Amino acid sequence: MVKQKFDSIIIGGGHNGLVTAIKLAKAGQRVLVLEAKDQFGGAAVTRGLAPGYNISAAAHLLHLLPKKLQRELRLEQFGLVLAAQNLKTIALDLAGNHVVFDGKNLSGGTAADQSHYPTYHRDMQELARFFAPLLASRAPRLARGKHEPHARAEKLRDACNLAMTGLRLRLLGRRRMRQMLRIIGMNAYDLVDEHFESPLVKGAIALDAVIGTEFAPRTPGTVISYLYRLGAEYAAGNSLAQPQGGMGSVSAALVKAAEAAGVTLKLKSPVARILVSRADSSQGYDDEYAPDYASGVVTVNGTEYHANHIVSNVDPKTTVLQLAGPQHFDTDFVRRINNIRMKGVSGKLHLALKALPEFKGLSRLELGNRLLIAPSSEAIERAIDPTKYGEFAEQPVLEITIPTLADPSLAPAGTHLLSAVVVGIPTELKGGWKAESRKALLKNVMAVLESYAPGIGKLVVQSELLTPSDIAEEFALPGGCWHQGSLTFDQFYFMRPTYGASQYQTPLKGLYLCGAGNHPGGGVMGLAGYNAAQQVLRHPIKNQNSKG
Amino acid sequence: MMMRLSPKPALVKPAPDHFKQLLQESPFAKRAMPLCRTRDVMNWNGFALVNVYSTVEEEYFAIRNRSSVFDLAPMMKYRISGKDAEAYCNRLVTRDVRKQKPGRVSYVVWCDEAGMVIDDGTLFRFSATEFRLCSQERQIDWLLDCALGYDVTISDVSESIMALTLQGPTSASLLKLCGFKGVENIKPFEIKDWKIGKLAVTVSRTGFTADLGYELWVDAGDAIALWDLLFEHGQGRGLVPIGNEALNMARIEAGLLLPGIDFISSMANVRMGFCRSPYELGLDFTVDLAKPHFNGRAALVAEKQNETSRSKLIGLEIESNKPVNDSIVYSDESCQTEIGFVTSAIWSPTCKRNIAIAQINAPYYGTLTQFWVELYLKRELTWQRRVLEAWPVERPFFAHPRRRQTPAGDY
Ligand SMILES: Cc1cc2nc3c(=O)[nH]c(=O)nc-3n(C[C@H](O)[C@H](O)[C@H](O)COP(=O)(O)OP(=O)(O)OC[C@H]3O[C@@H](n4cnc5c(N)ncnc54)[C@H](O)[C@@H]3O)c2cc1C
Repeated sequence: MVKQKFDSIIIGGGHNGLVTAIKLAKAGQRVLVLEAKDQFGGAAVTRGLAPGYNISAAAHLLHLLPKKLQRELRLEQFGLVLAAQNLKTIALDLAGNHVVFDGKNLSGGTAADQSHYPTYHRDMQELARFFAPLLASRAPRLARGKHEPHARAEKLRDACNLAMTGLRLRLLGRRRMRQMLRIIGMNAYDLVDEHFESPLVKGAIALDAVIGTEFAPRTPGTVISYLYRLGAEYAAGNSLAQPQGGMGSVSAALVKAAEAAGVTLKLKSPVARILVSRADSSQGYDDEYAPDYASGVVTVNGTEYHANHIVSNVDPKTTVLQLAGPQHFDTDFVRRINNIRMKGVSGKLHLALKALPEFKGLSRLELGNRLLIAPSSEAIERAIDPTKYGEFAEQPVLEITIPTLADPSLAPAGTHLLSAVVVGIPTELKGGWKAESRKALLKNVMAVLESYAPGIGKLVVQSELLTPSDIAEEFALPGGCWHQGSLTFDQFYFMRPTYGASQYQTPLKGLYLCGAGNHPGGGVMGLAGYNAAQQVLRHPIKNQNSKG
Repeated sequence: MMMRLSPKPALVKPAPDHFKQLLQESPFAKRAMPLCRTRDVMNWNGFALVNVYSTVEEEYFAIRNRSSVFDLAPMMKYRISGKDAEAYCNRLVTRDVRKQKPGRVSYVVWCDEAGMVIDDGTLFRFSATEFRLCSQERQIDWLLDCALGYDVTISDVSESIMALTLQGPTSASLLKLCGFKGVENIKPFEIKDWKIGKLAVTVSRTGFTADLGYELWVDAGDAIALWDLLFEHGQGRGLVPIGNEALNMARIEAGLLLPGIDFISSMANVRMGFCRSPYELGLDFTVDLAKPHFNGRAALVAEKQNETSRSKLIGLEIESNKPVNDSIVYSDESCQTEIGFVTSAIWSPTCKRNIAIAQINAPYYGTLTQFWVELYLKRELTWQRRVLEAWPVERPFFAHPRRRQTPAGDY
């Protein structure tokens, strides 16, 4: 049993964990990252699909990682190259009359839609601008328990944050403020219905509101998840992009940055438990008042590592209940953590293709964009509805990329890859996932694809369809939830992951959270990790385990 | 560690006409009710329970001078068993359960994350892995939520286990007459099993009276047999059944607290700031901050360390002989500065003192030695206002040495 001492240990080398590690190391800390798998990046990875074919196995589009953060972490210098930028979103039409979203411009759809879209886009961007700063900063706390830190500076920071939010709400102007307050509690279905005529336009926008959640457009609260996504995109200041070498390149650049910053990185080191100790007189405490604190971790193979701060990139529920253990927390907190809902209704389809498929009405050039098969809001509703009853969609909804157009390095010369988020698959299938049910699901997905891209089936060399439970397994994301905690109104902002831990800090001294399960949530965004590092740095090490 | 949530207890399906009877009948009712000459019955936890059988005076003096029996049917009883039962209980309550040996009972309180008291009760430890928690209020939801991550089974045994509390100086000798051989040797807070004929009785030397007394636990089906056994031999020891009112007098003399009367359970509390910590209830002796983590520890550490208790429940003695129920307490005779209120009060017939339990705000408790209590008296429809002097005194107000004496006195 080896004992090593670090300033901070990051459990999990997902992109957020890596961001935290870099930020802490740059501040002078000795940092260790322990990743369970044989690859860093978590759900931002590139991995093999078939010999010579490498796929972005979970996330496949880069649009949320803030430009500012990329610059601060010097990701370009560490090898992050974008193979494609400014991708358009194309809502596919069976007859080939596609609708194209390109920034504030819309082509296709009805004339009324086309003339209204720029106004709609501008209005939504204004609201996104309001949300963006909320995402980039830590959520304030409305109330502190009497045993929680009362530091004046902390309270002041929160008060300022809230006041600024209030001020910015006023600054939106009367019309936009009213507009926001009116729509914020609405569902996406009604919102798009108010604004547009064409089912394709409505379907594409409604899909933006619900993709990555377990909700359908008619579910209450889907406008807030929509604004949230727009806010995150606004904060990022990027276009839709595709990294050279797949999403794993983002993580690879982060790993290089981490190495350069002096972070110790270990793969295949799954953490079994977080070690908890009681502080003692050597740290200046009376027995009676000494707090418990997270003092280290022990890996599955029994190696112990010790540090002043333990920062978990693993979802909050698993971190608290499995890694630390409920006995170190109060029942009220455990109950709230245990109630965190983590669900997903999206799977991932990966196809290795002999040749480039043909989509009706799309040129070769256009194929490299973000392609949606979401013919209407109703179609999305219908695809997601069965998941509530443990069934999968007859006609799943798809978000497709063909990354090999911009980045041929991902597949053998002349061949291609198709990566698609498949919406309409339950985590738990009635009767359980069996070979036949997987086959039936794949058949449904391929039938949808075939109707837009006739002949695509014949091009398939290798296919893989990850169900939400496969995703849960492969990426350690319970429920197949992209966000380590559903993005619902009750799990947003200062309720994320729950009160008492909404500032990346658990009630257990020294135990921090930095993953997507925390504010501002999932997506390859890096902000949860960034904000968490800032919170850790607010607690200087020399004071960590001593009084005051 | 594997996560595990105890299965929710199966719902007991009520009889189809259950609604016709508003209050549940105690298994002792067949014997108790015919003895109730006042028809003064109250609702305790959904049970019809006798408030006064004959006269409060007779019943009260039976507690203090003879033997009294009180029906504990409405008491909530929870069985906590399994490998992690000790660790579970230790996280639940503020006391160090590891120090409690099998065969012992302790008085415990349990808190929420803010360190506010949810309830108090008695924790029985039968073995390394089996406990029973008795409380006045229903706690099953909380107990099940606390079980997350522990290998324990929690079951509500309130209706399958029944108890009578036998209190008074002659209680040990009465039990001996009933055949409880060697009962005088069990120590305060000790538990022992007896078999009297076919009747299995668990005896604990516990009670609410600060005097010699026992609680007798049987299967619900044996309730009548237990009652009959006691009354068969009771006459020579002056045994009488007592109702709630007399017992309440004894419990105030004993300085014991009641949820809903002396404090508000933080689960039932609605208004901010009205619930209380164990320190604020004067229950410091039940809190062991040095033990491993337990519910409310961080908050209680902060309270103790920063001395932020907002108030304290203390004992008061008041001039005159008029009980000061519900009175407001002032720091000055002119009643300008309100500093607290009375939660329980009686004229104590045994102590011959006018006593009360009162919540006194910081910083007045511990520093002031003179208080003023405002009392309104109704005299033949006419209200009179009195301002009475009061001073802090130790709780319990009454505590007879025989309550601790072992072997128990043979009166
Ligand atoms: C199918 C799918 C498609 C998506 N598409 C997109 C997209 O196109 N664009 C986008 O921006 N976002 C997308 N997302 C969301 C995005 O991928 C995630 O929200 C994000 O990657 C989460 O990052 P994270 O660092 O917070 O957590 P994770 O990536 O989950 O990282 C957690 C890390 O901890 C490790 N770990 C877990 N347990 C242990 C342990 N006990 N010991 C050590 N290590 C452990 C895991 O192996 C993992 O590496 C998608 C997600 C999915 C699932």
